[in-house]
Amino acid sequence: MQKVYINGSSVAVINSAQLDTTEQWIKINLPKIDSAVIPPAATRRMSKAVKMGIICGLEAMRQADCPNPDGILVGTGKGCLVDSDKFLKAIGEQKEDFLSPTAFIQSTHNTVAGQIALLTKNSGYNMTYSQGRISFESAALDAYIQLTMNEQVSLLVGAVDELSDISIEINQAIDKDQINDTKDIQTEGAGFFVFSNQKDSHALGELKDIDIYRNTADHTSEKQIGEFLKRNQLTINQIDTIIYSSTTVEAPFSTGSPILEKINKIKYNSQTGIFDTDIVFAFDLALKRLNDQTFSTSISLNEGKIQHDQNILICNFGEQNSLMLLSRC
Amino acid sequence: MEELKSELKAKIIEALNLEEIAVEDIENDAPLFGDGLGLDSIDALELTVLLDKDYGIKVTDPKVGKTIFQSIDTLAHYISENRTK
Repeated sequence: MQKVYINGSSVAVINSAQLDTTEQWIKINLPKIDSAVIPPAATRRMSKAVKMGIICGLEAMRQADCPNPDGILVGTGKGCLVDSDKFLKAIGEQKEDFLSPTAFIQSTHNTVAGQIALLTKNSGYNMTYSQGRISFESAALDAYIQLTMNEQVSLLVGAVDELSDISIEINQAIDKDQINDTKDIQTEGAGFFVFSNQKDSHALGELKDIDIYRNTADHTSEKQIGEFLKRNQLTINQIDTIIYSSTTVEAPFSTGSPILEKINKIKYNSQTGIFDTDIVFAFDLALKRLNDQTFSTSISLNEGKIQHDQNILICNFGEQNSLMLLSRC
Repeated sequence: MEELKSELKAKIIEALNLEEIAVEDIENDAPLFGDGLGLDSIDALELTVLLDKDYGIKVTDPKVGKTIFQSIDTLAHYISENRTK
């Protein structure tokens, strides 16, 4: 089996200072796109989700010096919501007549992966996963399998989710406890990475393993983590940091072993708020820590101290759960 | 007719999301597709919807569409003679 390395990383999330608010919903302020990067004629039909995806995707490919990966894999919890809003609103207001083809075309979940492929003239494997809060992990698992099996050499893997006015109205109208028990602020964002089974000077870390699972009464996350580490020949005290998200009220580590409780744990949603694929921030954060990059903007990210992490476990706890193991390379 | 042409330009800018173009930037006789505004086939679909929605004109023959979508002049002339709204 081939190893999987991460050779480029780019994320777009809100500025964490924006989370100091009483608002329940915060949208990203996207800067104007440089016309030299994407021509205005190409951007005029793009929603924020597409723009975020393209900007992050191109930047990850630039970092990895990989302008033509073998494929593009994207995860998205809810797809291009703004164009879905436009299209559905028009259906209602215009009684199903005079519908805009652009909003329909751009509203599909695979718009982001398709637009990146069109812009970069990439005719390789193109896949979009929409699996709720494990959409990014689903795309990453597909890429991981293809790369370890040596079916592809390099793949652009990412995720994107955006807020729309109607989605906000709908969520405000229903019991929010059903959406997000933790009352975190709902936001939006994107993140893209170049996965490769070739190690080169761009390698930021090694993706050792991915697991996606559901909890059952006799199969808890504690047990799953133990089995996951065991199959990677690691013990819990060899994990330097756990970066996690939890959309349930119950703290996932509250009933953990004493060893688990001693490990450095970062609940990253204090930096990003909540969106379906916010795990991309954790993935980027883990890569930064594995490369001794510091963080000066956040107390909760250890006040900018270099941690010399070797192994980082990324956990996504919720209705469905995921585990990803990243290691220094 | 001049009023209709200005109205058309504003509607086209809005419908096609031509963010960096103003009404005064569009010449009446400049090509809408290709070298002029640089519109494409998806824009042609949007213009067809716009004609139906705002002027009650159904363009079903592609040959007719090719003729009337040449410029603001040709589009305004066709609308003034065929509009039902």
